[in-house]
Amino acid sequence: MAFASDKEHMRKKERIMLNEQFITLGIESSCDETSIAVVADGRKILSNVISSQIAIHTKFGGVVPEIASRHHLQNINAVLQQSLDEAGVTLSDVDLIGVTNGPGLIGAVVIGVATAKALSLASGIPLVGVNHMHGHVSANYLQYEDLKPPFLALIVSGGHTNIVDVTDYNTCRVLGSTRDDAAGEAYDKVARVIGLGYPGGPKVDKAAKEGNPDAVQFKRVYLEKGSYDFSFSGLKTQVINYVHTEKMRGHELSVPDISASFQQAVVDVIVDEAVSAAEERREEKLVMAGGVAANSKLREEMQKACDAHGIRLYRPEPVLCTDNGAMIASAAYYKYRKNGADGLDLDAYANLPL
Amino acid sequence: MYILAIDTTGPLGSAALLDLETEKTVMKISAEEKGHLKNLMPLVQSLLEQEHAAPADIAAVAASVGPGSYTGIRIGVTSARAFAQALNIPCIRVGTLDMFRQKAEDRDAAVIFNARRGQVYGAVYRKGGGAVMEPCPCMLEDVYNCVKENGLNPVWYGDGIDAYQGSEQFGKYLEGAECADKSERYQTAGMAVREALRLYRAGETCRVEELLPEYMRKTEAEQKLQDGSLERARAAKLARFRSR
Ligand SMILES: [Zn+2]
Repeated sequence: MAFASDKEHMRKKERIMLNEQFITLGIESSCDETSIAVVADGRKILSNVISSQIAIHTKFGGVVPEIASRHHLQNINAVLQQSLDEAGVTLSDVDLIGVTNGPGLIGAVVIGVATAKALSLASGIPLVGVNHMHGHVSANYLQYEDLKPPFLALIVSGGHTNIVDVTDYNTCRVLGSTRDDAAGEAYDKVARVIGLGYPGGPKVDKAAKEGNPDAVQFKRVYLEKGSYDFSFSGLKTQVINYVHTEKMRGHELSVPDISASFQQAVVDVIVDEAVSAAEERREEKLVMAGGVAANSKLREEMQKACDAHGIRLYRPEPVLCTDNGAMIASAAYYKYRKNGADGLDLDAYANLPL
Repeated sequence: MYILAIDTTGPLGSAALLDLETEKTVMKISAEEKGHLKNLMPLVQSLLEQEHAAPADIAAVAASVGPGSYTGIRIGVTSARAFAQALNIPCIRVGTLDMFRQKAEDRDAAVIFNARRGQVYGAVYRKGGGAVMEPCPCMLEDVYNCVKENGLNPVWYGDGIDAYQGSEQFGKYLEGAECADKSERYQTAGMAVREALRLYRAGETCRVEELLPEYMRKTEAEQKLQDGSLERARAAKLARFRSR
């Protein structure tokens, strides 16, 4: 771990004090990344340290909650130190502590919240609990300095597929959601069935690059007109049945072709729904958020469709789409400005509505 | 200056402050079962207020590190680590079963924490505090046999009593046993802070990253990976999936 030299440290500290920036520490531990970031004025990333557990969970074929919790505990203090060092600040420079307090794997969320609460009591820094999904939306404020609500957001992740009306920094009105599996969940299940394993999203995305998206005709599932809801479990079943039938016939499976065809079907539906929602509601801004927003195909097709319809698309860099502390710091900053601090009795929740 | 101790390994979380000058201890216990995360920091805050002390008056932070409830252990250890990191002070690692040595001053003591299906985390101390059975994961039967073989007459402690007393399958091992009253039965931060004081005086403090949980067992996933049953389960699941 690199420590900033004293001189560099002093210089940065002076700069911060001169500019009177408001420093927020963002803590994220809701799934398989331990991440802590330092963000100035809710918008500027001074550091964003992410310690991923992907390598640890790969041998189990998916995230094992108990193991994730054990690793969060072991890593979080070093991640904190590294984050402060990289930002060139000390804890005493921090004005606010933001932490994901749901939704997520409860045993994992607990580690971030316990850390944030103890830091808050020991140092006297105010504390704010953040909805992880608000964090994902807020990643866009870090990427785009000029972005302000209201706007329409497409949130796609392992647990969510939502079209959301973001009316102000703290309010997300859900217009559409998945009626069964989230997009990311469908990716994980398909990845398992075709033998790609964990983590499903990036692995299918990668395999799809070598495959033909028209190789297998999977039916696109659209729900009734006027609804912005999604359904992905039918598509997942189609893939499972296809794999089964091909095996029965003794055919060799092409993992790249299945990946590409499945991915195309998912992306087609998401892009169509998101863009038509924006059209119908005359929204000029469409914002992407969540882990699946890092998917290369989805990013590419969303850009094409938005360009064709004269909609401005906002999409954070992939590193800001995956779970990270900076997005939590940004969301915390805006929540604190509106509602003030939370008490030391802040709790963690596996489920937390948007 | 004070030592702060935290115990969230059992059903009720607690925090204690020990004044290093007077060795006087104050403790607060949560009234809510399993409310560890929510209640722990407010308990610490009200202890500090009661003592007219500030976080900066704390010289070291002790955590009861387990065994016990996995999530509970982690809440206590994580809180202690962050508290120590913020104040740049040392930690003290207190084994949760070791704390019961204090109970064996004038009587033998047997400790059993419930680990389900007849399993316990157990320890047995002879009058005077010598360990006859060091803290370990074992069967209730093993603790029972240890007590019998060594001719001990202990008072029993721990939530294993509540789990197995009167149980059809395992109740026989506790038949006629002298069990501590509920007010004395469980681990508390008050016990932790006394053990912490001993360690602190002996110079046995540690750095934040060394304050680690004592789970005493591998996770189920790790056990299954090791014995090959994870692979078998996965293959079977895939076969079921495909045969639908
Ligand atoms: Zn996420």
